[in-house]
Amino acid sequence: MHNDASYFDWPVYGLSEAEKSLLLADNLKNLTIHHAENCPEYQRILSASNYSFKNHVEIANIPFIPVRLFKQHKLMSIPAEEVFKTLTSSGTTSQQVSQIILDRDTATAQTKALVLILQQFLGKKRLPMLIIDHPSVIKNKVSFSARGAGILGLSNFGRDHTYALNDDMSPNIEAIQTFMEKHQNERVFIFGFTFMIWKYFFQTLKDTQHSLHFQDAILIHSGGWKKLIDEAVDNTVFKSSLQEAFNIQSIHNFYGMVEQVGSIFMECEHGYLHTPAFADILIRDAQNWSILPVSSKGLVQVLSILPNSYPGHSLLTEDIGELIYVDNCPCGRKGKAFLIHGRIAKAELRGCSDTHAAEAGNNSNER
Amino acid sequence: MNVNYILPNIIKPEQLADIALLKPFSKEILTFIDQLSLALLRSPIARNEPELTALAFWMRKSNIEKIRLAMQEKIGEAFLTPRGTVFHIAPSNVDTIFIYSWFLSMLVGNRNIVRLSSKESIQTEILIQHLYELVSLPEHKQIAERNILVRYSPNDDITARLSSFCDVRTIWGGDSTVQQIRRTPIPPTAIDIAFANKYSLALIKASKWLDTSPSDKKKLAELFYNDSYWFDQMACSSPRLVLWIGDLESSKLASNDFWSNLKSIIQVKHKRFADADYVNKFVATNNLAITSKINVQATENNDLIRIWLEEPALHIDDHCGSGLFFESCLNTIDNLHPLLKRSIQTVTYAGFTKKEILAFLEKQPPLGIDRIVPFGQALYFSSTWDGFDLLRTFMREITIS
Repeated sequence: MHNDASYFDWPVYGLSEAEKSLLLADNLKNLTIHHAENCPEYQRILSASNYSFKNHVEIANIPFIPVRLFKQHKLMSIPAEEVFKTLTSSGTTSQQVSQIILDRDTATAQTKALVLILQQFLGKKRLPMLIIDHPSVIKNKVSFSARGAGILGLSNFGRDHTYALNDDMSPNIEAIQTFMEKHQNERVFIFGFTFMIWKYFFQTLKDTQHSLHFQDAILIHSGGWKKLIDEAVDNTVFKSSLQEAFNIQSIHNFYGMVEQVGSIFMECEHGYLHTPAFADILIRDAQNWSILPVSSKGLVQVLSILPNSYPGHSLLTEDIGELIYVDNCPCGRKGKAFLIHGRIAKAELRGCSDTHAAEAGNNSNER
Repeated sequence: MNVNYILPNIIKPEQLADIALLKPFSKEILTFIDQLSLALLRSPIARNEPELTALAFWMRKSNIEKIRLAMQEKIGEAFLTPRGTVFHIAPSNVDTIFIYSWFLSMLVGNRNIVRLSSKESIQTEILIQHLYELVSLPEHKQIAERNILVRYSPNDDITARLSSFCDVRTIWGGDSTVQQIRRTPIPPTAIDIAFANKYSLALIKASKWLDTSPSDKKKLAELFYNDSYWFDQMACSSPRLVLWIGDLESSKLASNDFWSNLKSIIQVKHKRFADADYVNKFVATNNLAITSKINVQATENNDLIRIWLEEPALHIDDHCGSGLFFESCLNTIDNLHPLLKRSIQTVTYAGFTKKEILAFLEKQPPLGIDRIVPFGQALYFSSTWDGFDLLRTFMREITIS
């Protein structure tokens, strides 16, 4: 292990960007060297561009690779016998899935980081947990879908785990009501994927006689907005709908991806996504990779010091983001606060291929 | 199941067969084509689109006459007559192809159904507007009742209907389109002309480049820019691989000098690509770095990406256009042979004489290459395309003894 895990002692949202970028740059540089030494494919990418390691490195100079590469290559920086688990992206909209190779250390670090981040929102006590999904989603223990991994990861924050849906995605009314009665006077934690919550929980239950009225609930959700935006549901609509229908007052989205599990970007009370101590983002102009200032939209590069078993510490996503605050979000959290504006428009098929071809599958992950 | 008829619709596709064929190169055809040419040359909007200007020049009376004479010379005494109804399925990546395909067929007297891509583009819309105005005039009734333009979303039933009474079906749009359309039958007496995916490259003699004057270098760079950037490098004739012919050292020198000339042109002429294009190029570059020995050359910005290949290769599947260039060097032009295959279409060349090119071809039959043109002519349409003499193919021969 080249990075000591002292970063777990850093305050999650308490480091100013200036302090943090020094600490991160150092760790990310070590990671870059580590992956170059242990992942031959990564080494080839760096040498193809004549990347040279300098003594002093800033975050801006850490090389990045496209997130799509994990769909095309199995990239790992550990010997095969140390593979502990392989994460895959949900293959719902794309033909190829990402494969993320974890060893025990990286998986542990991911869990630990997630705990530290979520405790900032959920507190240290485990809350009764309602999962807006069906129980079979975590059956396969060897190869996890991103959905299964997400649920399993977040289950650590709850107790009395209750699945709100049946295997056919219909709401399990009985289970939900039992859960609510049992935990009437407590704070409860609801978790699920954005689209599932909307389609299988909110839309099926909002107008039924089973009016769910939570007294004290915090809902955390993640996943792609794409399908919802198509239905004209944005974050604001999503929040107000769930508040009105079920009286869920505290709702937080998070931005994360299977290629960088653990160091997620949580949405604050003011609706902005925040970089935790272990991770950062840069907004880049696709035309020249230059780093864009606050209030400019560009491609999101995500950096995280957790990925040790695979070269995923610095990735160029296919998402469009915008930096809003640095250290001065009204919620009081330090570091960067940003928004995601969806995915880059799919490259038009201008090759000699679409006179008749149907629309190709989406080339990116559900996030 | 909507078929959208683009021109004032005076006839149903099924009724085409009842209309007499026109004589090849007859007056009403020549007048119509010439008038479209004039309309485009007069239109300030069309003049802003270099591809349309090129098209308008191609359609001018004098050029059409050249085409006719060349054809006449080729066929000599043979008696040729139009085949009947030609169903053209146009590609979506190069907006003007549908006109070339359609007009060559029209010139020799055929009736035509043209299926346009559903993808709208400025150029296509300008063309449609002028076509609409022209065929609405009573003097072009002969053309209006023999030519149908349609658009429809991918639909096998409609394709089958339009294929069921054609005499020739022309399939543009690459391998997957060809495979898919070929599943739909045409009458037993009909023929298919299919245009597959093609890949093009550029040859530059390194020593010659180094001896070229700065002003000529600039000109050549501009011609290369037109060849490759006009359709975002997505036209099958746009060069994707640049091969330097000469020793490694002069090739590298020439290469750096060449791209710096091109960079200046790009800065002046090129608007930005879409974000997705830059990302696709970045993915392609990283992918190639993993699978092959490459060197990514530093460039001003991502409008131009240069990848030097240690081993000359085509890497067809790794190429996504939008200003991505693979480069390598060959000691002599004869070393090109191992790289050639049937899917190589256009070779643009600089620093070679036509004689040298001919000598290369005569030494050994090449396994690919449909056309060899000087820099700046990659996108010129010629009536012989991908090895088909289209005029000839759109006609049939009646032997008389």
